[in-house]
Amino acid sequence: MRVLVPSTGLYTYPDVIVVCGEPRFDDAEVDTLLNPAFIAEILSPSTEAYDRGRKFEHYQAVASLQEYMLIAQDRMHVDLFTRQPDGTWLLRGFTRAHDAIELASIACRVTLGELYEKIELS
Amino acid sequence: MLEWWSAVSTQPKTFLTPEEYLELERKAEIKSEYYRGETFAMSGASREHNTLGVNLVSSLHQQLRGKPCEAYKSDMRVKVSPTGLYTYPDVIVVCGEPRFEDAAVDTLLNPAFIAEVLSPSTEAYDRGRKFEQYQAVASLQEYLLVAQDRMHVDLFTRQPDGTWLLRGFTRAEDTIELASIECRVTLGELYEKVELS
Repeated sequence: MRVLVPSTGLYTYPDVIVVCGEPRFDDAEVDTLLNPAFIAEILSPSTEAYDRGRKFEHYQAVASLQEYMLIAQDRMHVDLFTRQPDGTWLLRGFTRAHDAIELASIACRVTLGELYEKIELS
Repeated sequence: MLEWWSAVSTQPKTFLTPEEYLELERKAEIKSEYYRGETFAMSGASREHNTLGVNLVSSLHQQLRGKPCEAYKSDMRVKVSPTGLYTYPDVIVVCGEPRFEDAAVDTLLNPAFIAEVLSPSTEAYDRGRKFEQYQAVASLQEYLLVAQDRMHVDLFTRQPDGTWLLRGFTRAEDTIELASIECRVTLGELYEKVELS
């Protein structure tokens, strides 16, 4: 699903998106989402700087976005950024298989054990 | 300035103990970082990188006069004790009594504030694994990331529950409040004489 960040003009395909309530689209093609509540990106060496830096800045400009999750693929490590009422973001890191990631914006939870099931870590 | 992913080792395949690293490092002409037996040579930095570092450290130095805090730039080695990383942050501030690894007083253990100026080759490391390492330094309260290609600063502040609060700054008149060291700097000051691409 393509996402448009209207205020910056970026069109991008996040790895995972959750939208809650009525999805809003850019036009009648209904293939370009405007109001994600949750976005996750799986980090790669070539995109980690972008995902953690400028891309996250773009996502911050999406008013509907409440949580942004970054997933390492070379070790068990997840960073969850949660939007605060004052516009700052709270970062919480997770590293153990029994850690449960609580995604408050979408009332979901996932453990790292689940997330990394069948992943061969280097 | 460490090339994390390309892992340019100055001592290829030679495992060094921390003691061997420190002994070599104290005689070396080029600085290297160290992690788990390997050393990583550090490259020089761009004009913008240097100017940002100097602007920040000189502003902090000025504000810390008469206070029990000291600012260092680029040449103070920090040891992340829980993980064993030795690294040279771009800017460090220590408050109260600095604690060092040994009598050589060149390897700081208790920074309160660290800033890194971002480069394309190190941004992923500085935002990712290096930040994770720094999070393991109990004394560290604030971590500042400074872009050199545009006016943008991210400040991470440690919260009592172990999470970190991220605040972004993008305008020349924005003031970064560094609560842990009681300093403040505007983006205008920080980016003075920096040519943005």
